[in-house]
Amino acid sequence: MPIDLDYSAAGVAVRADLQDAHRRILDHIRSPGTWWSGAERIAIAAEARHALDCSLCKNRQAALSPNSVSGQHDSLGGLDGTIVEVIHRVRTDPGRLSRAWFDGVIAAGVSVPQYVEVIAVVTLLTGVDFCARALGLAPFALPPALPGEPSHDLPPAAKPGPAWVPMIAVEDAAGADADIYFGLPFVPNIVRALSQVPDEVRALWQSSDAHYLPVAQIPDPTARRALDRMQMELVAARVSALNQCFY
Amino acid sequence: MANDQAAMQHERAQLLRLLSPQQFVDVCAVIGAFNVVDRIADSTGIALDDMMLAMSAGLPQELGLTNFNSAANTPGMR
Repeated sequence: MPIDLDYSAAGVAVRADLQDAHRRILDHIRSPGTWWSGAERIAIAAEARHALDCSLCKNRQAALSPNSVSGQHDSLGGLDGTIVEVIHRVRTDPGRLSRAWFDGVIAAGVSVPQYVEVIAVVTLLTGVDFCARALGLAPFALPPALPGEPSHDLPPAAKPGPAWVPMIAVEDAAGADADIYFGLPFVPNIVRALSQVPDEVRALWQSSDAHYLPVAQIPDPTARRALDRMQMELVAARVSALNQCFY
Repeated sequence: MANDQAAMQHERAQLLRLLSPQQFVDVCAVIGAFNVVDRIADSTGIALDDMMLAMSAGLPQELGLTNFNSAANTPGMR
């Protein structure tokens, strides 16, 4: 079943590549992944939206430290409590995540590649949702999940390093995953971050190409859309400051 | 403000007075893009790349960005 999205309420013409990216991202989310089935990925996406109304998340956001507020998340049910914690924190309070928090998630039994895929689903959906909200649109309906099993492909080239999660180095991207860095000589950590689950890197490129700039144009400071590059970076910097993101 | 529909509508109208519709769409798209990458960065504990750190040349400290929790993921920033 094709994914049909309605942009008419935006009141402006939304470029076709952006609409196509939104459809592709929602289709990616509903498809079986590497560690989660399509149904589980849609459940993760639905929980990410549900987090916006979670009392515990609101109380934590208002607190000096999220660790000072305990309780249970308002959850849709169906997902493990630790996964719900990951989804809610990444959606509602990403700027105050810590290595200790991550270590606690892994100690609770979530595998690192499972974690990486949850991060990808939550963040890719968050991008679509923020874009839609800025345009004045209601969140797009989540599509029905597609059948199939996760592949469980673990790339051997992903190695531990200074980040919380293992990543594939530029020089190690080979074989079936040789495409994930487009042969670029410099690949920023933000792209490598999801590389333990290569299909999520591919999805991130699709998102970034349409929402920001095509990968080949990113190093070019004169690259532009209707906004020039300085205007784009001003918006990016403001968003990142609001998210309290150092990166 | 993001949860205040009236305020959001007002801001959209203000932006559309200043920008073309195509520019307005680009603003919305970049807002989406950086709500993705910020969350990926902060949930995977990646450090700011050496090249970008060198280019920023003291700006993180000057702007107070080192006060952000996620600055701890970049050696020497906290």
